[in-house]
Amino acid sequence: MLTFAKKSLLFGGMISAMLLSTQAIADGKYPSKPLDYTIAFGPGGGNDLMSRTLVKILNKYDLFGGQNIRVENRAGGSGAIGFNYVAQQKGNPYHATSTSGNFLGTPIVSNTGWTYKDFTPIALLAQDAMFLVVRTDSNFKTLEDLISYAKSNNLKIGGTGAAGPERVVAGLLSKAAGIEFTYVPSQDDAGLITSLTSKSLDAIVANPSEVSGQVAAGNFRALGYSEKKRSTVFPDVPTFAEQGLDFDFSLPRGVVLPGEVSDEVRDWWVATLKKVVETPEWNDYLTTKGLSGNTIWGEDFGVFLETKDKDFRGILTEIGVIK
Amino acid sequence: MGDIASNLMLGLSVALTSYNLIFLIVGVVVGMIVGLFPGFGPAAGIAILIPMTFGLEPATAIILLAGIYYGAMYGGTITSILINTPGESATVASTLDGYPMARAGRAGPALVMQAVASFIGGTIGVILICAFTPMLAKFASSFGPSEYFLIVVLGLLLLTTMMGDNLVNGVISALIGFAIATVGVDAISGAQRFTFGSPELIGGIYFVPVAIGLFGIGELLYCIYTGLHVKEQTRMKISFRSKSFWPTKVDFVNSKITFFRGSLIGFIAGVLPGSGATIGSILAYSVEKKVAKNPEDFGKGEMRGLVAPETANNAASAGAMVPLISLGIPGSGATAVLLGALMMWGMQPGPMLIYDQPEFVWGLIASMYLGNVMLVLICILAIPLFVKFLDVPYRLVVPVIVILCMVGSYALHSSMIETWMLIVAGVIGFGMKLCKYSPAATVLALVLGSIAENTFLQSLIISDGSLSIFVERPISLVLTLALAAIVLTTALLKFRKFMSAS
Amino acid sequence: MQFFFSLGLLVASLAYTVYGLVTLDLVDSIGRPGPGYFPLIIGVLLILTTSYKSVKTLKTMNSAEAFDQDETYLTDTLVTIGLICLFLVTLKFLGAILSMVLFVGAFLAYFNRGRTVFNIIYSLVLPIAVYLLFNVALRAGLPKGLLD
Repeated sequence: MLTFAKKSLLFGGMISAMLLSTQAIADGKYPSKPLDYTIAFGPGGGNDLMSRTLVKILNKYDLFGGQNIRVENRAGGSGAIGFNYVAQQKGNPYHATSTSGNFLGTPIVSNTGWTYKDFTPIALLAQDAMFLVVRTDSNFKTLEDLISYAKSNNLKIGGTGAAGPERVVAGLLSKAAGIEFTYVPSQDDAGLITSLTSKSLDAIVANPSEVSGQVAAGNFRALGYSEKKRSTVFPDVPTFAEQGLDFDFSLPRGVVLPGEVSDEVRDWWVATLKKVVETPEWNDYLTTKGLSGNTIWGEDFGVFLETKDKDFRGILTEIGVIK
Repeated sequence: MGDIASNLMLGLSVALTSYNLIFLIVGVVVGMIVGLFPGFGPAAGIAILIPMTFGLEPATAIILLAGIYYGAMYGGTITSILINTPGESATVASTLDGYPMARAGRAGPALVMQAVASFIGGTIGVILICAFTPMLAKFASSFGPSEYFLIVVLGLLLLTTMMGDNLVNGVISALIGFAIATVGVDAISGAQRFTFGSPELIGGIYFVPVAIGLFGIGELLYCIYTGLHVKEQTRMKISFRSKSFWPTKVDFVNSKITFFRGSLIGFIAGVLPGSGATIGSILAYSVEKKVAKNPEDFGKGEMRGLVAPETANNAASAGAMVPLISLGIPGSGATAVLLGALMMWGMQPGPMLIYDQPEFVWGLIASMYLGNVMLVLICILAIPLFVKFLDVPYRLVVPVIVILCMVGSYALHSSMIETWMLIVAGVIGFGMKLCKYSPAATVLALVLGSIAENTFLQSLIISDGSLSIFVERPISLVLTLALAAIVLTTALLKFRKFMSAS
Repeated sequence: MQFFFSLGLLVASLAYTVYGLVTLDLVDSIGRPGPGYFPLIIGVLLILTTSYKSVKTLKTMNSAEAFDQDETYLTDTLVTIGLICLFLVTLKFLGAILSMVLFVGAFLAYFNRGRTVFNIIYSLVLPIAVYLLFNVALRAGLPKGLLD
């Protein structure tokens, strides 16, 4: 009885999803239904904040065609659960979600049943790259100081997590500069920062938002930045590439839709999100969170995801987290 | 000193917005009501109501939860005095003289004095927080992984040495917490542990449903098991029109030093990791009895026997906030739950919190001042009203708690698996309670376990595998010596006891 | 009861330790403690303490000590656990409101027998209040069902 009910529900759901996507294209009128915006993480985190800011802007400027937007946190498994839910909505243009580091990282380290390829990339709205930071009282005034010291000494460089983006940046740095150092993984950002203030470590790889306060207070000095271009929020910090190290790495803070939505829908979203990033609210969000506002749109975002995924896999394979 | 004043002004400007004030009032009132129910102390109250902070600003949310935290302390005492059933262990000492007083017809004075005592204890505690938190935070910025590891071990050691008779049970409870903490991706190696290949478990077992289950559902099941739901409630009548409702001048004069002695003992017990309000209140009671000229009156309705534990348990609740805010290390079950809540809102408790989020930290501290003022007013003016809650049969309370726990924990992440974990944790919590284990130790260990493991391994990575890191750094050396001293004295005491017994 | 609980913990500890040993490396590639190091310590300590406890409680089980409670209500506790499980099962299918109403109704029908009118009102008012609190005041999406 129950299984029958379940089956018919599923079947009905499939039909309505098919109807939905064809309808949207046939009418040429998108959006004509409420949107389900899934947040693959719990309330309060970085992804949650970005998603809610975005939805707030869409509502405030009435950018979603007067339709309602339902926001739901589907957390669990470092994003595995929520992203899986959206990936299941193949072809349905009334679902969307925000990406962050785990969008690439989680499928690499565990068997999630989906990868970035199961989504339609819309836009990279903000880049979440990393600073290499030392104490102001340390002898490393520039990146060069640190590299030349590291050639003959064993540096201790910390970062949050064993297989996260900090680890990848540290790995890329070690390769590009031709140096070896000990990477010390920290369980959280608070622990990472006190590891540096307590002189337990020589340097840390950290998210700008975590250390910007310390940098502003004159306690920490940022030696390099891992995005391709300088951050729009911290234009004084030089990139690694500028300093002769040929690598860049940043996390995609962007928007994706389920796979196989029509090109019209994708173009509609690209055009809409271009309006979103022009708003003062979005600018405030970037500044307070220390995120860089360099954007990438549509297909190019897909290419971006592909190269970052390759970097991620490469480093994690090298350090033996994945085989 | 001027610094503290300006910081407090900043805090007051946060706490005194009408929006936050409303949540503070809601928090202390709900906390008092929660505290009235048997078995439900601050930890359970906070755990059950965490989901209610959904969508609130972190500052507002913590003001609400902190209100519940010390509101429950006030509420717990009311039942200790009136019906000799302490809401939780921190108010057990208050029954010793509180209940005899009520039986002797002095329930009114006892209730008023406990409110005054709680107020003084809480206020002295908050004043000390203002002084100590920034100091400790500043000092703690020189704590690296090795120091953190030693502090956590120190806390766990204090926790076990103070468990007394149920030492083995306490150790097992803590080990269960450690074991649960190992589930998920290991922060050091990146390896998946005990996930059984399921993506649901990569992030580990989520703390909040476990805490709600152990404290909320576990307590509830235990209360049903002991038959609370079939008991007809004893009706209490208290009116403050009668003359005998108010304490006499003698009560105040006799206890004037007790107020401060209790507060100080309580605060110190609260700051030390692993001891907290229960130890503080018992310690304050026994110290008071020792220094009194009339120790034979204690246990028969001596006012000081109530004032001492009451000032102490509230000062200890305040003291427990110090390591939580300045180090990110909780010292008790309730502060462990608060830490879980902080992390849920994306806050990172640690030495930097007070610099990065001054509005948040000082808003919280300022709200504790206001909360204590509010509670003493509520307590004295509305005690007859709150006593009415004791008339509500427990069987009608059960559905409210179940629904809040279940729907609340589902609403957090829309996760069925987490809600099942809540039920499993509830059944385990019931079993633990039944067999005299300590769910609070489990929850505390769940938080401290991963800190201990990670910081230990980080220390070894930094020192290239040498244990000398724990004695080379000056602060580490001091902590290591303190650890050794505690272990040696306990062993020595045990040995002497053993010798004299045989 | 104490004995069976200790025994249950012992079995769980054994399972935890063995599974950890099988799936996790004790040391990492350069000889430092690996991911399985701490779980092994925890597991061994758990096995030692819970087996001690099991033996100890087995000895006391046969004596009259068994319970210090005068009267216990195991059936009522089990009924409550059962109802809570049912509540969670129905939560997804029937939606939040209906499952809450059913849970409160069933609970009161069992535990608060004979006061039908009061029970019905209570099992309607409480779920609606909670629903308003979470869905409207806190905007935390609850499972949707037949009624909403």
